[in-house]
Amino acid sequence: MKSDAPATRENLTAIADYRQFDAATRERALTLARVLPDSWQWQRFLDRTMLVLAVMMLAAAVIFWIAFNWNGMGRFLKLALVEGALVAAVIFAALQKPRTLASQAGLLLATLLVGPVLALVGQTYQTGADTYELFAVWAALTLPWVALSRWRIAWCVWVVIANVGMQLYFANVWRPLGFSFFDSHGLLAHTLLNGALLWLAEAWGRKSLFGDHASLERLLALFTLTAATFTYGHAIHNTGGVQSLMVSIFVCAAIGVTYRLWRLDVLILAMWSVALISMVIATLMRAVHGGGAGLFLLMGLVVIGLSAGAALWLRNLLQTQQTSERGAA
Amino acid sequence: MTINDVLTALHRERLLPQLEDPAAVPTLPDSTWYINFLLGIMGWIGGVLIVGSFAVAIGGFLREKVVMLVFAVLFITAAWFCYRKLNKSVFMTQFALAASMAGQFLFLFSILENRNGREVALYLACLQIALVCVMPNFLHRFLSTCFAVIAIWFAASSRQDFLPSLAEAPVWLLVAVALGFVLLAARESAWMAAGKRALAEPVMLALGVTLLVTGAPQIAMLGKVAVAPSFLLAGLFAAVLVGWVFWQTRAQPVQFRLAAALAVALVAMACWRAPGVIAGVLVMLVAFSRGRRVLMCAAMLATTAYLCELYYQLGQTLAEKSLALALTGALLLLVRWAVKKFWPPTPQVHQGESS
Repeated sequence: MKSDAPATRENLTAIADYRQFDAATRERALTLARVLPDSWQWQRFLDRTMLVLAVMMLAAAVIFWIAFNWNGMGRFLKLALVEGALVAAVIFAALQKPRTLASQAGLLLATLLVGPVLALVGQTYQTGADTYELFAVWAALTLPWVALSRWRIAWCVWVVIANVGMQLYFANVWRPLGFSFFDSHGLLAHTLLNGALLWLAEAWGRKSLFGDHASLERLLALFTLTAATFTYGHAIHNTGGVQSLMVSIFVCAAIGVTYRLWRLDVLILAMWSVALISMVIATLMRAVHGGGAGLFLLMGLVVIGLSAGAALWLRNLLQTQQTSERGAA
Repeated sequence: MTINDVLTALHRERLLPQLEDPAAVPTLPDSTWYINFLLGIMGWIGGVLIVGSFAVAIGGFLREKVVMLVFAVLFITAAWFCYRKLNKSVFMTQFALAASMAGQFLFLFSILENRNGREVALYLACLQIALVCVMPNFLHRFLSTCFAVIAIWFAASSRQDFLPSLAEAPVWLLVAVALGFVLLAARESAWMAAGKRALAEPVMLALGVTLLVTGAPQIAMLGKVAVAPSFLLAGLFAAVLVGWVFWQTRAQPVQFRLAAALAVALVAMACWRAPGVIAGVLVMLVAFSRGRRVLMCAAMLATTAYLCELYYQLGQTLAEKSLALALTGALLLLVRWAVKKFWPPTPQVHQGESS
C-alpha cells in the first residue's frame, strides 16, 4: 500500500490487521481519518436528518388527515387547512437565505403538499379527473419550485411523481386494470422520459444542482435502465416491435459509453452491468427456446461468468477512479 | 487525509511506538456494496438456474427426498471447497455462491413434504446459522444471516394456536436483533482487534438490514391483532435507543447525556404506535456513529417506506395517525431548535467543509 493512499476504512483496516493494532488504536485511527463522525459531523447530520424527517412527517400528517375525510370538518375548513399549510411552507422557504437547507426543505414540503391540495379539490368538487391527471398536474405545478430549490432530493421526489403519473396513465388509459410495466408503449415512454431527464441532468444539472453526490443522476439511470431492460425483453419476444428494440439498445449503449468514457460512475456502471446480463439472458432464452436442461445450465453458467467478469471490471474501474481522484487532489 | 497522515498522528499521540511504513501492507479487496449486491443477485439467479437444469436432467431421481438431500449436501460442500481452496478466482467464488444457493433450494425441497410452514422455517434457519459459521465469505455470511433472521421471524410469526404463550415471540425476536446489532456495532473495534472481522462484520450489517426489512410487515400484522404487543415492541425499541444514546454520549457531561436521552425518548414516545420509525431511527443513528453510510441511507429509505405502509395499517384511524405524525414532526423541529440553541456548531475546525 502506498503511503499517500487515502485513509479509507478498507485501507485503515488492512494496515490495522497487518500490524495488529489494539481496539483503542483502531478506534482513534478511524476517528482521525473522519471515518467515524466527530462532534461537528454529528451536529450537521442531526440538523439535516431532523429537518428532513420532520418535513416528511408533517407532509404525511396532512395527507393522512385529508384521506380521513372527517365529516365534522367543513370543506372550506379542510381547504383552508391544507392550503394554509402550503402557503406557510412557501413563506417559510421565502424567508430563508436562498439555497440553504431550510429554504430547500420548505420548498420540498410545499411540493409534497400540492398533491393533497389537488386530491382534496377532486374529492370535494368531484371533478371526475383520473388519478394520472392528478399526478401530471402535481408534477407540472411543482416544477418551478423544484427548479428554484436546485436540490437533488427535491428533484428525486419530482421524478418519482412524474413516473407515477406516467405509470398511471398507461395503466388507466392503455391497459385498464393492468400495470404499465406489462405494456410495451408504457415501457418505451418510461425509457424515453427518464433517458431524456438523465441527459438534461448531466448536461445542465451537474454544476447547478446541490446535494450529496449524484443521487438524481443515479436514480434516473436506475429508472432508465430498468425500463430499457423490460422494453428489450418485450421486444425480443415479439411483443414490442423493432423500434422498441432499437431504442432500448441505443439507450443502454449510450449510458454505458457515457459513464465509462465521459463521466466515470462505477455505481451506474454496476446497474448497467445488471441490465446487460439480463438482456443477454433474455436473448439466450429466445435463441435456445425449449433447450431443456442444457439451456438452464448454459444460462446459469453465463450468469455466473458474466457477473464475475462484471465484478472484476467494476473493481478495476473503482481503483482507476480512486487513483484519478487522488491525483486530482 | 492519507494513510501516512493518520499513522503520523497516531505516532505523535504515542499510540504507535514507531512510525509504520505502509509499503509492506497488502491492500484489501474492495467490498463496495453495489458490487456485492450485483454478485448476490446474480449468484441467487445462477443457483436457481443450476437447480432448474438439474431438475430437468434427472427429474425422476429428484422426487426422492433422500436423493435431494444428498445432492444438497454435495452442492454445499462443493461451495465450501471453492471458498476455501479456490477463493482467489472471482468466477469460482461466484460459482460457489450459486452452488450453495442451489444446495439450499434442494434442501428446502427435500423438507417441504408433510411439514408445516413453521417447521420448514426452523429447519432453514438452522441450516443458515450453520452456513454463517462455516462459509468463509463475507457475502455468503451476510446473506445467510439475513435468511436466518427472516426464517426465524417467519416461524415466530406463524399462528400460535397451540402455544398462546409464544404470541409475543416476534416482538422478542426483533428486540434481540436490535440488541445484537447495537452490541456488535458498539464493540466493532474490539472484535476487529480480536481477529473476528470475517464473522462479525457481515453478521452486524445483516442484523441492521433485517431489522429494517422485518420491521414493517411485522408491525402491520401486530396492528391488526392487538395494541399490547405493538406497544411492547415500541417500548423495547425505545429502551434500546435511549440506552444506546446514553452509552454513545458517555464522554459528554451528564446534563448533555440526559438531555440527549430525553430528546430521543420524547421522539420515541410520540411515535409509540409506529415502532418501525423507532427501529429506522435506531439503525440510522447507530450506522452513522460507525461511519456506515450505506446502511444509514437504507435506514432513511426504510423509514420513508414505513411511513407509506403506515397508511394501510388497520390498528388506528387515519386521524390518529395524522395527529401522531404531526406531533412527531413538530417535536423533531423543537429538538432541532434546542440542539442549535444549546449545542451551537463549531465550524472553525472544518471551515473548508462548511463553506
